[in-house]
Amino acid sequence: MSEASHAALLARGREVLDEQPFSRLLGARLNVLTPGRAELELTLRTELLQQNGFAHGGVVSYLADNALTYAGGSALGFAVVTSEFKINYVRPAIGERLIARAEAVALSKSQVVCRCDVLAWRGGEEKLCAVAQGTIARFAERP
Amino acid sequence: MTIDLDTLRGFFASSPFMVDLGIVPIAVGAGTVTTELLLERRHTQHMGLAHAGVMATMADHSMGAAAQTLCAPGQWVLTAELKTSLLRPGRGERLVCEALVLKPGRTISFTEASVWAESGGERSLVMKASATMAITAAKA
Repeated sequence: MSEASHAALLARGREVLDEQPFSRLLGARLNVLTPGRAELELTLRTELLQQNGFAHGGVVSYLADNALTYAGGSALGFAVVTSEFKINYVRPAIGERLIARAEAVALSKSQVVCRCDVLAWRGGEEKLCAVAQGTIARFAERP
Repeated sequence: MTIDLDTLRGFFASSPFMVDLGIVPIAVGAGTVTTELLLERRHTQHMGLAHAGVMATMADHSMGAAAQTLCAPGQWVLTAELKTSLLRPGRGERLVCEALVLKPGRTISFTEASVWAESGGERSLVMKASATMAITAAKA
């Protein structure tokens, strides 16, 4: 893939993110998008926390899910949705921002299995707070 | 610990992300919690469907609340792991999540949830989820 098409893929990915009202609500940013690889980031603020002051598990799983979907969608090259995903919360997500790094690991014609790490950034240090794996599939709606 | 609906509403109100999204409990029993969310545009993804993250959030918090209903006073619940299957596109006026405890434990509880989308009086199952909840001592 040429540098120009890399830039075009990232630009298209950012357009799609901007078309997702829920991603805008949470303030997600797409840092990296290459075929089969994606990095998403969001800044933590009070609205995104749970009752103990950690990032809500739903915020962490949103970020993992969307990163998995970007990695899968860019690997497959067409419209996709999440078919299923599983996440392990390994440490409370505390910090200024969260980063999700996802990669496609097994590609077939209509679906792709992807993996994702979610890291919490606190005081210049990153700590793994969740690991996720999911299946991203072609979006073909039936009535 | 017996939790009535008013107490549970208070628990949800103390979680900023629940308040921000508008997820509220509508029924509670011993080991069961039902929640609802009135769908708005801000809950959707780029195709206008409810974002998987919204449904996963709802399932996660509702299962945690279901586990909380069976905890002793001073114990709190944290999600250790969560699995979701997205069965159908989520669209309609309202999401309803029914969560229950499959097996309560001293340190971990196994839970399950179904998320339904209601559209024009009909409801369809859009997400099936399961989670392992860690039971912890209350924060200092």
